[in-house]
Order: sequence, then C-alpha cells, then structure tokens
Amino acid sequence: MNVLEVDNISVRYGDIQALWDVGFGVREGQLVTILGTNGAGKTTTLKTIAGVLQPFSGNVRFNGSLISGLPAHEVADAGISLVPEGRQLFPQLNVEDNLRMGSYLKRTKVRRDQNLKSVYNLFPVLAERKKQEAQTLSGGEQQMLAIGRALMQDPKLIMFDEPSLGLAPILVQEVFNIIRELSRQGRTILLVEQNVHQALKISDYCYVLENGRIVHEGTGKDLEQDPKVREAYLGI
Amino acid sequence: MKRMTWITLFLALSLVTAGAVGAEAPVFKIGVITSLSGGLATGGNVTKQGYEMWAKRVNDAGGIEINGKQYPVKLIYGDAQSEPSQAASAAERLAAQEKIDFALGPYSSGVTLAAAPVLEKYKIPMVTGSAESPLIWREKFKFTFGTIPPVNFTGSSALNVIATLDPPPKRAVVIGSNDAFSKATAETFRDTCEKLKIKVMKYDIVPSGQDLTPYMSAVRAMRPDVIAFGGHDEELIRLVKALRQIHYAPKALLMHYGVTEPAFIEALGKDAEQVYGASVWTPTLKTKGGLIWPDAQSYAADIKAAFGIVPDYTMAACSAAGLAFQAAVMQLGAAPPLDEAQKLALVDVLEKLDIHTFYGPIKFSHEGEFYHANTGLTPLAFRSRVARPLSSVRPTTRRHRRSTP
Amino acid sequence: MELLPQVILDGILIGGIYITIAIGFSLVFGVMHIIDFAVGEWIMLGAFLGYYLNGWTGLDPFALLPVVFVVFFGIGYLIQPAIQRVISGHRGNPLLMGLVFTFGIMLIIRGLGLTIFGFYSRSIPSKLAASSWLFEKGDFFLTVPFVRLAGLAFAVAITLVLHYMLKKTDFGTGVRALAQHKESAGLMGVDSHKTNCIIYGIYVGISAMTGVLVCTIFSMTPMEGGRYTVLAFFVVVLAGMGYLPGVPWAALFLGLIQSIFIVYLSASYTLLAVFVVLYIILLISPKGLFGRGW
Repeated sequence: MNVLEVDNISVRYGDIQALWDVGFGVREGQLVTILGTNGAGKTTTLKTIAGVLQPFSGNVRFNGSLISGLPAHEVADAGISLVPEGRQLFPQLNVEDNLRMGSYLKRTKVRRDQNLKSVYNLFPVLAERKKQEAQTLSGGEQQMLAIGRALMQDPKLIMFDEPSLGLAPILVQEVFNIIRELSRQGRTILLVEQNVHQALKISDYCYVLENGRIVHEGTGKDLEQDPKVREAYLGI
Repeated sequence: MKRMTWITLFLALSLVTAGAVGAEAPVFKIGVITSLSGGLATGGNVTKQGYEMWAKRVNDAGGIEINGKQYPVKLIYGDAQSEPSQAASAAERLAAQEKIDFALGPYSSGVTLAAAPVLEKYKIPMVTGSAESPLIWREKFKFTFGTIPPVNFTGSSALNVIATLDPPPKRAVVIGSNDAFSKATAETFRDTCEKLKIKVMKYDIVPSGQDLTPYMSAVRAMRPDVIAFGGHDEELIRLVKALRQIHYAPKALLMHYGVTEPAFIEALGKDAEQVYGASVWTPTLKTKGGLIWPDAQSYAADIKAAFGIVPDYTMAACSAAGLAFQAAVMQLGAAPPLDEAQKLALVDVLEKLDIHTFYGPIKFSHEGEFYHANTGLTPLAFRSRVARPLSSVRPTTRRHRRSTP
Repeated sequence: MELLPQVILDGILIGGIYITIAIGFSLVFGVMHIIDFAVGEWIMLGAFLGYYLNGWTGLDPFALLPVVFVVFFGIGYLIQPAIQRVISGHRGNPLLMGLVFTFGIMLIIRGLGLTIFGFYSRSIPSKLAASSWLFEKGDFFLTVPFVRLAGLAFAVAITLVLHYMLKKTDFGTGVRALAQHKESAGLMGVDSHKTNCIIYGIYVGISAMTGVLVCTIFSMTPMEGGRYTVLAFFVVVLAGMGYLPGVPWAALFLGLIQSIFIVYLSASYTLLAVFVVLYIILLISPKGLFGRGW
C-alpha cells in the first residue's frame, strides 16, 4: 500500500513544461530517493506534492485522498512536510520561533512541548542557540533547524530537497546519518539528491529523473549495478 | 431585426431632441469658474449654491427680460480644483470652447488671480462673489468685478469694535494661513492693530494643515489680549478646538471668514461663542432690493428651502454677483449671444452700476486700491454663535451688543 | 525656557496621534508589501462613521472606537482579496500595481465621500475635549489636554496590543513568518490568504479608529485624507519601510521636532524644517532611523 501516490503529473511554469507524466509511489516506512541532475525537475516534483505548485494534469494522493489542488497549508495539515532546498528558514525569527512555526497547525500544537524537547535532544546545538536569529546560524546549524522545524510538524511523510547542498563534506555525512536514523525510526521519507553515492546507499527504492521524465527506477542496489546509471551518475 | 428597430428609434429620438435644443431661443451662457474639488471645495461649493440660486430664480421667472423678450441663463461649470493652474485652463475652456457671454468668479483669491488674466485676454466680463484679497484689485483687471469688498476694506471693522472693549486690549498675536486671502487678512489685522495702538507681539504666516497647539501654548505664555487669525473655515475650527483643549480663552479671538458660516458654528457648538469676526452681510441685515429678492430675510428663506442651510455672506455675495450682471445686461439691452463690442459696453455699464439688492448696495469702485471691488457696502462686526451684528463701523452708529441666548 | 516642558509634552502628544496614523500602514507594508495610498481615506471614512454614530447615539467618540473598528475590520477583510489579486498577477512590479490600485481606491472613496458627506468640515464633540490638567507655578506652567492624553493612551494601547499579538501569539509569529518567507510559511501551515485578510482588516480598522480620534481632536472633511496619507508616509519612511518597532519612536520624534520648531524657530517654516530633517536622516540612513527598513 502506497502512502504517497503520484499519478502521472505534468507541471508548467508559464509556457515552459517542467514535468512530463511523472508517476511513482512511496510505501509506509520506506526511504525513496529521486535522483537527477540540475534542472531535471526534482524540486518541481517536491513542490508540486507540497502544494506550492499545482499540476495541470495528473493527481497526487496521500493516504488514499486527493491532495493535488490543495494549497500548501492544507497539504501540511494532511501530514506532509518539506525540508526545502536552501533551508528557507525565517531569517529574522529566532531558533525557537522557527521551531514553533513548525507546530503552527492545530493538529501539532498539542504536542509542541514534547516535540520541542525531542528536537532539542536530537540537535543539542539548537537548544544552545534558542534565542539567536536564524540568519546568524552556520550552514550546518541552519540545516538542522530546517529538519527540526519539519519534525515539529509531526509529519507522516518527510520530503528532503537536496539537504546536502552547500555543506562541508563532514556535515554532508552527518545529514545523511540523520536521515538514515529517521528512516530507522520507521518514518516515511522522500529524498531528492544529487549526491548519488550517499543516496543510493541509504535508500530502499530510487527513481531517476531526466528532463522532467522518470527514466530509471529500482532498488538502490539494482541501480548501482545498472550500467547506464553507473555511467551517467556515478562516473564509472 | 428588432435591434435595428430600436437603434433607428433611438437615432430618430436623439435627432428630435437635438433639433429641439437647436431651435430653442438663445440663452445667456454664463461660465462659473470655481473649486468644486480639492482643498477649497467647501468654499467653492458655497459659491456654487449662491450662483445656482440666482440662476434658478431667473429661469423660474422665464429669464432676463431684454427689449420685451425673455432670455434664460445657463450656467456652465469649470472646476478650478482649488489649483490656480486648473482655474486658468477652466477659464480658457469656457471662453474658447463654450463661448460664454459672461463669467461668475471663483472662490479664493489665488484661483481668481489665475482666472482673471485669461478672461482679460478673451475680453469676457466677470463678477465674482468671493475674492477678498487686496491683491486682485491691485492688479486692476478691466474685466473683473467683485461684490465683496477686499479684506483690507472690511477686516479692520471687527478690530475697531474690539478696541472699544473695557478694558481696552493692549497686546495682540496675529497669525495667517499661507495663501493670498489669509495673508492679506493677517496683514490687515496687523496694520489695524498698529493703528489702534494695540501692540503686535507675534506675527506669523503658517502653512495650512499644521497642528497649532504647541504654538498656542507659546502664545498663551505671552498673555495677549487678542488673537487674530486669517484663514479658512477648516483652520479656524482647528484653532478654536486647540485653544479649547489647552483651556485658554483670550479676551478676544478674531477671525475673518467663516464666523457667520453655519458649518463653523455647527462644528464648534458652544466653543464658537468667543469668536469675533467681520462680515458684510447676514440674513438679519436690513436691506431693500429691487431684483428678485426684496430683502435679506426672503433670500435666506429661499436658500433654506432649497439647500436646508442658512446662507453666509459669501453665498449672498455670489447671488448678488448674478444680480449685478442681470441689472447691467438689462440696462445695456443686449440679447445673447453678446459680441465683443457688447461685452465691452457691459463693462462700462458695470462700472457705472449703482443698485440696491437684498445683499446691500452694489457700486463698484473706479479707481485706487479697490478698483472694481464693491465699495458700496458697509462692513459689520460680529460675535459668533448668534451671528448677529455687533455694530457697523460707521462712526454715527452706536454699538449695541445683544445678549447671547 | 519655562516653555520647554510644555513644548516637549505637546510634541509627545502630537507624536501619539502620528503613531496611530502610521502603525497599521507600516504593518501592511511589512507583511504584504502594499503601499496603501488610501490610508488617509480609511481615516476619513472612520471619522465620518464616528461623527454620524456620535450624532445618533450621543455616545462619546472614545466609546465608539470598538464599533468603528469592527465595521472597518470587516470592510478591510472583504476588500483585501481584490488587492491581493492585483498585486499577485503576472503583471510586472507588484509594488507598483498595489500603488496604482490603492490610488484608484483613494480617488473613489474621496469622490464618494464628497458626494455623500458633503463638503463641510465635521468635528466630533467629546466631553474630554473641554477638560485639561493645569499646573501653574509662577512663570512655569503645563497644560495637559485630556482629549490628547486619551489619544496618546490609545496610541500606546494599540502599540502594545500589536506588539503582544506579533510577539506572543502563534498567529503573530505566523504573520512575521509570512512577512519573511511566504512559501515557507505556507509549508508550515500558514493560510496566507486568510492571514493577509485579517492583517488588512486590522489595518483598516486601526486607521478608521484613528479617524475618529483626529476628528475629535481636530476636524475632518472628505477632502482631507491626503494630509494623513502624507503623514503616514513620513513616519513609516523615517521608521524604515515595514519596520514596525520603529514606528512609535519615529512618530514621537516627528511630533517633537515639529513642536520644538514651531515654538523656537518659526511657525512659518516648521513643515519645511521637518522635511529637511527627514531628508537629512534618509541621506545618512536610507533605511530609516534604525536602519532596519527596506
């Protein structure tokens, strides 16, 4: 049973079409990755699921109900969180207010204190910087804050949009460790990455996006073996 | 098919109406250049109502009688938008496109100063019912006349009355708003004070729309006996409220325009009581008129019936401006449309005009600083709220103050 | 020198009025980047509602403030979607579109106001307007007009309520989040449409209440809104466009220099002096007194 069902969506920016009949699914507890180069349509896919963009054809279903066509705040209420590319924090809110924004919805407000505690446990550095404006944090701390903010939403599905982008190698490793840890806790995760090595290692199932179309799919192991994928993305 | 029928019918109908208009007897086309919008709209609309009242009564009677035939008047408005430049272009449009026979003038002196030269160029006579700045008459426009004497003719009257208070006032503060009329008023107040040996402790011209409370706090520390203010109604209301708020009542608060205006009294209520002003007309004035209205009371009743308000002197002066034109053109015996020679002749008749109206005598000055202003009138001094004359300034008349009800 | 305490007090009281004129305007710019040219017209409409309500009910204008707020909150709430539509279309510069659109609203309201309310100056009577505290000792004196004091109290109350709302409530945090990053706020569950409507409603409501205040302290005509639009601009630019915490200080600052100049310099050049000060400050710090604006 797929928790998330993306059914042949096509998306346009004005006259330019970015996605062509993209379809895939994510099962409960799975870590699914979408791979692809710059401009392949990865971010567009996530934004469309999140309700920031709307497809002109095709549907997105979540837990069996239609969510395409809903505005972002209602998709968030349905249980989908996006950790956006480039973090997209609220730069002049302090760390705690950024986290509190994660539990803006009524659904999650009741568990705010509990969630706040567990986020601080996961990222002790955020607890230290509670009262600091988000824009004063380092890149790695900002990424932790973005993830923490998403966790505050009590999501049934977390989507990560290139979480390793612009981070030092040591931090990249840490981010992937966190994602793997979240996956181990049984969370459902949709990951978009350009860092193919790392992504293939941790994911249960992968899709490869090229020019707005899905061109390959398979388990991480399968794709690692696939000669075409090896040539195009792993440089072997 | 049906649509075509309608269109044909409509076209036919419009042709008929157009024909009817074309066949109508000639009318006097009178341009009204006044501010119907912008900062001076309040006063502008007062003038409009004055002119309208006159035109309505003329047309109700069938028109102005020239050589046994009656010619109605038609008012064509040009909105000066409270801007001198707009006034000039409105005058230009009325003169060049509408080909008016005659013009009734604007509210406020700045606007008048802009419209007058245009009418001068087109040789169109204008009588204005509201232009009290001495500046206008100093320009000696041949074609411009005014039914209200300039403020340097009238403004001193109220001060003359205040000077007779017991004990006599010794110190004054004079303020004026920054526009032609208000400045002239303030200057008159200042000069008259000096003449009456009242010391002017402070004299300022302030931009309109400013909160004068701090200024008034400073004035209060100087303890003047008289505060004299030249400005328009809105500023007067603010000033009186500001004084009220800081709990300060000088012996006399002197203003020029607005004191007799119903809106002023309504807006201020009891606070209007301590205000003195000068004016040239009130509805209670005893006058005898030949044209349309026999006296001030019947005019006031007419205005009350038409607009539901009590007319002030500006409105009356505007209706009187219409009367001046009516009397002059009847004397001239010229039927519309007036050609250039007739317009020039009309100016001559206006210069010699000496009539009595509900508004008082109309007699335009020929020379000097009051050239073409109506100096036939006697200015009156007022204490507001009741807006009844305290006295006239003629030395022969004794001051009689009425108790306020 | 005995005048100085009075001058400072008068400046603060004028500043209080400026706070209420500008604070809603700043809020709306900060959250949705609309420069509302019609701010003075909302003030004017509020003044007239206050005037008529006072005439019908005989209640003191300060008691009418909640009613005026509720009515104009509703109007603002309903009108916001139209503005949002204009500025969010793909029609070039949204800031400019907003300016043009609200300029149109301004002209319409002003025209309608002139037709409906007439051209006379109106003023709302209040019991407070006739009373004041007076301290006098020799040459030294200080007058505190009650009605202006009440105006200042109202301004402080509005400032504190807005501060509390924005800093201490979830809704307020959401509003700040929306102002800083619209897309992320949506992802967090902030309904930007509804939030914008509420904020615009609050702004129109505050402006209308300000109208009642200025009509009680001064007077109002349908043509006069523009004066307050200019003042709102002044204060907001000085505070830094969209920097709300700067508004009360900028307003008090303007009130003080105006009061000081009118007494110690010359009444004739006060406004000019205020302009000059404003330009010098903007020259030194283009983002306003605190360098935190746009």
